[in-house]
Amino acid sequence: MTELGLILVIVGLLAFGQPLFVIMGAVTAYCYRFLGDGALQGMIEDIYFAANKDLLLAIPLFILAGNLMTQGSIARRLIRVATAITAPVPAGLAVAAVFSCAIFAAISGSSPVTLIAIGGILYPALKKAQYPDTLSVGLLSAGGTLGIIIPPSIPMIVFAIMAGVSVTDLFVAGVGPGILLTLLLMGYCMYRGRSMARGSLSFKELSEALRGGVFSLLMPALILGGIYSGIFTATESAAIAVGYALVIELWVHRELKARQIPQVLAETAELLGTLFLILVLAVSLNKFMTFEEIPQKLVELLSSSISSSVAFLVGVNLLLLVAGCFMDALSAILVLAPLLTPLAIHYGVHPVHFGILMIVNLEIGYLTPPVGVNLFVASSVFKEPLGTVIRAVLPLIVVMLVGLAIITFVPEISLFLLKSPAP
Amino acid sequence: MKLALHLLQKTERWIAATAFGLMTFLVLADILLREAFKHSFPVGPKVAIDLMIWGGFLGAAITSGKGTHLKAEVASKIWPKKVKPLVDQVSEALTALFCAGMAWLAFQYVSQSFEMGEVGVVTRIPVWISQAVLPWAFVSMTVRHLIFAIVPSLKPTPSLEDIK
Repeated sequence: MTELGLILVIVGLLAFGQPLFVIMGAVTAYCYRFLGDGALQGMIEDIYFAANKDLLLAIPLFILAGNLMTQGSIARRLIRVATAITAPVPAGLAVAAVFSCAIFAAISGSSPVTLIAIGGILYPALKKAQYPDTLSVGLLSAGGTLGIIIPPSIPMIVFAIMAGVSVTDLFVAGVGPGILLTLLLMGYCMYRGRSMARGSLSFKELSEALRGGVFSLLMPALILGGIYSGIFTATESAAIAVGYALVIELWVHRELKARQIPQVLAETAELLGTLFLILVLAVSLNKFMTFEEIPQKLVELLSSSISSSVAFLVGVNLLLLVAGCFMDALSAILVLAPLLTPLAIHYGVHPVHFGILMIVNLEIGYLTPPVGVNLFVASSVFKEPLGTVIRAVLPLIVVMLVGLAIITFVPEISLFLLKSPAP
Repeated sequence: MKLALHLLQKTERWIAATAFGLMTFLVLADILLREAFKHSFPVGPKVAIDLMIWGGFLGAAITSGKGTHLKAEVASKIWPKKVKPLVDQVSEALTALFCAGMAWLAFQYVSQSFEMGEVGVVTRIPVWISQAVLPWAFVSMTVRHLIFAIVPSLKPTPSLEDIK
């Protein structure tokens, strides 16, 4: 009876279009009141303790670093480097678009931000170079999704908190799949543009582009190098990224004025605000579920009906792809990561590999209607009807599904850089 | 009412921005002291977390003011166009009701900490100072959603810039 009441509460709140934090909070309160010891005070206490975590500091700091870097000319500088390098290959400009998205993703950590920053500059250039609209719109929308698989990545930090895995391991594990997806998207561009005229490699242009973009290109190396070498934790690395971005944009590129900083800080608070409350409520609910051994019960229930790890991987990919169609990446991670990770471990899937699978699935969700965020952003930025954008991304979704299949069944792609790849 | 909402938004944005600025400074200062001067400053990161809690909860309140909280909008499309405005008002009232309940629980929690005189283990700062943002943020959200329920024209429409 109480379980039925819980379902009714969720359906009712969904029908009234309630924000996710209300649904998450109401579910948590219901569980504490009717399935737990009945005291709601413990919920607030858990919320405060959930917020009081070192690792959480990494989220606002990475958001802030990304915001600082996107204020300046970093996207333009990166695009110039990418364009100079890819000039001699077929469909060089399209390949440069994917390459730029991949490098920018290693700074930004957000898919729509990557799409806006790179797409806003390269879409007119691709149009001018007479690339088919469907190719340009599709690959920029898909390239933007690299933002969450190539570290740093906010969804990876959230997964680490919810599933209790190392964020450093997740960042390191994201490198291989990020490179694979970038190569697949580039390969698709070269195939589509195989008959187009090629440019030539200009060493003069390349050296000038590198001179202008060297500080921007160093940032991913600084973030990942610091974490991988063990010098910095993920949180410290995020703080270093902020410090580096400030120095570069204020005194080297001189694209950011000191008076803009309060505005950037306020925007960071707003961006964190969309996530923070849901995150701490989800952690509170997760604590309740762990106490009541709900994930373990789910493992027992499902392990009798799922016969092998292959069946589990196929099933979980399908579930996550469907979830990605209806939920944004962060919401899906908050809800599903604590439930599915114990199941993945039960089937012998490395929790870090599982985290990467979840991120790649939800990355594809950025391109699938009805809630694919990149579809709406692309439609607005490129001024193309939503239907055109959806048709344009379809072949790219197929390419990314191929990538997902490889990442799923070749775990070494994710785990080869880990210092201790055994779970 | 519009002016009150504007002032509330502006004040909270200012406090959240200051909190994040100080938070960043403290984390960077700790790394610099440790790496360059081999000196530990354990209070810094702990205060930075308190500042993040302030900035994060106030960020949630600001997000309410901009109407950009994450939503599963699909199910709410079941309503006929005629009743949609009324449903939106009820929806805002429901959000306000939830926030009011949370504000009450948060207030009781902070009062308890205050009465017990709890202090941070490392910082020795009274814990209620860090916790006080909980009732503040929930009261602030209650006020906003209640106003949007009563005067729907004041409800903001999110722009492309907000979809990040």
